[in-house]
Amino acid sequence: MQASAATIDFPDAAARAALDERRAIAAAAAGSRPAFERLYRLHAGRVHALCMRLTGHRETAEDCVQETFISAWRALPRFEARSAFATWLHRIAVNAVMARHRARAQAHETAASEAGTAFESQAAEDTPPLDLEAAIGALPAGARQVLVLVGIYGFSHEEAADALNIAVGTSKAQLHRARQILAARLDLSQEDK
Amino acid sequence: MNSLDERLAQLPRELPPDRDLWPAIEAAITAEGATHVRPRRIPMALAAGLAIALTAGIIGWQAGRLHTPVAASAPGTEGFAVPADPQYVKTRANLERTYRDRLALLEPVTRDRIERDLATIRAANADIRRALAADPQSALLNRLLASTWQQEFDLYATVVRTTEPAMQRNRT
Repeated sequence: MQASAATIDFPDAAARAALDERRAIAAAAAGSRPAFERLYRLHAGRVHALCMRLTGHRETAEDCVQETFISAWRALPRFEARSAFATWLHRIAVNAVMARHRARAQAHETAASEAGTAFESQAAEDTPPLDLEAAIGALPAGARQVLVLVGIYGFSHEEAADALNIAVGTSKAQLHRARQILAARLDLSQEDK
Repeated sequence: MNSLDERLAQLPRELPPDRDLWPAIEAAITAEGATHVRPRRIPMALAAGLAIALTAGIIGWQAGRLHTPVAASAPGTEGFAVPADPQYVKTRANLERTYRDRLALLEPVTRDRIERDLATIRAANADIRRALAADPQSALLNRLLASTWQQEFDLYATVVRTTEPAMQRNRT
């Protein structure tokens, strides 16, 4: 007996891309460097964007990207696929950035924070509007980090607070502060904030 | 002017680095040598097996997802997770029997493809079980093993569901 044949639909391009990523994760976890390079090529742009916005410095961001992928290689056997690989990688990137931030703080190299403080004090002055990226880069470090994680990359305040080792209330306050500074710097009207 | 939230949402999520950072990363992980210890204990053939298992799961993406209950340390399974709930095992056996009956309703080319996929899933399951015998605590391997059971279940369910209209027509 052969009635009309049943057709099984196969996944679309996005599903196939996700499947390719899962294959690369499995192979990389088993020790394949070519597979890990595929993961690097897939995610380097997003990780670099995150590091760039968190640090505000190109060379520091590149160092953090390298540290992120080296740490990810070490930790891959423990990756349990409960979260998306990108989310897991972003968390490692935030840790890399924060480790550098702490090391710099201990070495009293607070140039970035001082620059941010200086910017904040000038924010209300009559300076021309900045583009958004430049304004984010000029935010004080604490406000910038929360804005980048919560405002751009969709972390919850709880996740951001955990990643940045601050209280949830501090995260909310820093986001409010970042938005106030950006609105002033970008000449946003009250309803645009 | 757009609101701040709208402007934030429009920022590109990807900013590729100005230079290729991979060579330095590759050099670092190569120099580390034994740091990535556990994967090196897994047979190289397993990497291919895992990849195949995940590829085979392509059919599972289309199926309704019935959770595969697993239990650790079932008899004869070297301490790793296997489906153990009696109701689930019975349901699965019935589904597999129906799947066997329904295969005849499919075009030969479709039937061949499905049987190849099933063989691939089962081969991957065997590969992963062998790897787990050497590393039974591996969370990744245990999750992959569970996913192969789910993929097999999904394959059965997909065939049964997609052949149901033909069965209805045959009954009438």
